Amino acid sequence: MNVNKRIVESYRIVFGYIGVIVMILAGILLLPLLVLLVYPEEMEYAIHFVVPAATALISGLLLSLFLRGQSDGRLTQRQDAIIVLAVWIAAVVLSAAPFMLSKQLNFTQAIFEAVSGWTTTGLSVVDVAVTPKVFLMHRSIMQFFGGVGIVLVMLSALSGTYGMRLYCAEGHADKLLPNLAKSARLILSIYAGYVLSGTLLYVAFDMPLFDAINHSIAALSTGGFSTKTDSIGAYKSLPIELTTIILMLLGTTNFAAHLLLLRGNIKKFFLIGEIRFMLILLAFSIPLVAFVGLNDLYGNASQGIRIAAFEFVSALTTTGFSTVSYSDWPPFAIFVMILLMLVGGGTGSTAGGLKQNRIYLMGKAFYWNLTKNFQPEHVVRERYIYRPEGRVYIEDKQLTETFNFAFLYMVLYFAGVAILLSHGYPLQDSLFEYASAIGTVGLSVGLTTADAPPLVLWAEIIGMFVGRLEIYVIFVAVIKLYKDAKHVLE
Amino acid sequence: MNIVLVGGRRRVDFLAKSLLAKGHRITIVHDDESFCKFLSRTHDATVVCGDGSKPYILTDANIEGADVLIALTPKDADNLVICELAKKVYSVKRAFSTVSNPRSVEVFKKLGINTVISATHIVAEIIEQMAAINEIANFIPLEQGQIVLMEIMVRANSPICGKSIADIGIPEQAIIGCILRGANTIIPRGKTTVTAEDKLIILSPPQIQQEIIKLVVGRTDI
Repeated sequence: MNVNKRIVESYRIVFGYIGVIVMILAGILLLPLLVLLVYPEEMEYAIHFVVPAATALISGLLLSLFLRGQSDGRLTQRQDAIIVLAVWIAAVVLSAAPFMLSKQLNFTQAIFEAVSGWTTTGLSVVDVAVTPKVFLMHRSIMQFFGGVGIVLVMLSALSGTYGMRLYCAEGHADKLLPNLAKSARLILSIYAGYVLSGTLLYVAFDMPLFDAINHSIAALSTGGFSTKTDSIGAYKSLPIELTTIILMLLGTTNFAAHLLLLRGNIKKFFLIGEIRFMLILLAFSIPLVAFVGLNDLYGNASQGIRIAAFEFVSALTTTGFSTVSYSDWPPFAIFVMILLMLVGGGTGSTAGGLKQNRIYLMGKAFYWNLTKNFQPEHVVRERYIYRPEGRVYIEDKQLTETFNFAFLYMVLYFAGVAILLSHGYPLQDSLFEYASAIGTVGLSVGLTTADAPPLVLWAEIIGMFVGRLEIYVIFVAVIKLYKDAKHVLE
Repeated sequence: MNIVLVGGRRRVDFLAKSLLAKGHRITIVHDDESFCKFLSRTHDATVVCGDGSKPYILTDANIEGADVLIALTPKDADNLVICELAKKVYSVKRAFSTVSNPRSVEVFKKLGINTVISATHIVAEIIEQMAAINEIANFIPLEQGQIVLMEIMVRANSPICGKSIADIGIPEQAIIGCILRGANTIIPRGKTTVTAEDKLIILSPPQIQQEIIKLVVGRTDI
């Protein structure tokens, strides 16, 4: 049996990169322990974090040894996808460990919670009322780093030769500055800056500091983990709801667009097709559903609009905070929610879903195709859309990719819905819950609970994971692994 | 106006820009696909990719009844065909053509395309005049050379220096339209006196051009 040396050799650098990121993960795992400074009575749980962190550190260190003497090593085609997939799985498994070690959750539940955190979904199987604060913080910190992406965190520290490929493989759409490491740092600082201002705003509106930090992180990362059972609804405060809406909208905005905004380039910001699309979508759907669907439910129009605005922004931005229960919502309102969750947030942001940019592009493509009929046959018309970097001309190749993605997304969505249906859940609930999972939203009609069948939880885990990493990278990584495994023993 | 531009590279780019700025509707026909893409990205015009001398392309570009067509292709023969097609088949109101060979101008005129612009021709004429008399600062033929506009410098040794306009005895068909004196522009009357370093703007038909130059400069050669 001959082992193909070349392939084995090429994986050394893959392991090396994974090792470096796993060491960073060890650091991330220890961060929640800062809570113990304020709540020393939870010291007993520290060991549940230290053990996995130490494991991560040692294994990361061992793996990173592969990098030694490999400065001229080459990352072969598509191995970037394998790295990204591997570190995300590592992140999930390591973050699930504290839940299991403390015996709060079983394996499936713990993985579910970790995936929900890292993918910034916000579906949860823990009871936040009894969970220790250090674990609540752990969930928020997962969302913080899941929002920007673990690879980006690594790149802000060291960019290396293959930085750009890893950056793209993790699904970041834009490079803000010519230098990748600086771009990554800029994204992190914009993000952290917003989290900080969000926390201050929440505190200013009488939210306890611990809750404020958690909610600010969860809103900005469009995650949606709350420290209250009733989510944001627990505070029954209009200023807090408004703050949350603003934070969610900021979270779903492309980081390159944030840069325009922060530089005061308001005109260019509102020229971006995606931003316009989002604002128009919300401007239509909120009043429509508030009057048609929710008017009777909440008595008056102003209350209906307040609730619709919050819930719809939460759904579209794929955050998943809620102020009310949906059990008594009319089907029409639920339907609009499902649509918004499927559309999802902005490209290059922390949000999930099909992404507004794709929907906008597909809508435009339809219009372009239609107008083609009324133009000369040989006409040359270069089509463009506005993105944060200005006019972007659209090639047919991009359109094909977009339509492919949308098709694949819907296929996976319906496959997931089918699994939920097969467990006897009603159609409406299944559509809602799986749109919420695959769009990494986190709103629930009550189907996702700790005692849900494991298969349902796993279906949602896969949905969330695939939704966050934008499908392709997973396919590519799996196919690449399979091919290499086949060739390695030739 | 509805304007159709056929062919040309830098000229079509420049023309399209200036015509669009004036608010005209532009259709550009060009046979280079990548150049078409460039035009489509830079100008808000309908760009049709194809050979403009082929009727099916012109039909496709929907030039029927356009106000102006400008043929800018590098081949004179193509330009002729395009202009002929435009006027006779598509009833375009006016068709312009540029020609690269100045000799083609005659051919075009004989075949009924009167609006021919030969860059070589125009430049040659200007150079000829300016080289001959260095007092001529500017020379612009108007209406296919039926009338010319000259800007002539008056030297101290000029026969008309110090005379009033009435005394110069300008021929009937010509007129001194304007006198540029330093930063001032003077519209001359009979009593206005011409002084040294004045620039005269004179309009005249080409036939008496030599006569005027002799009158102002005092000679017709260097």
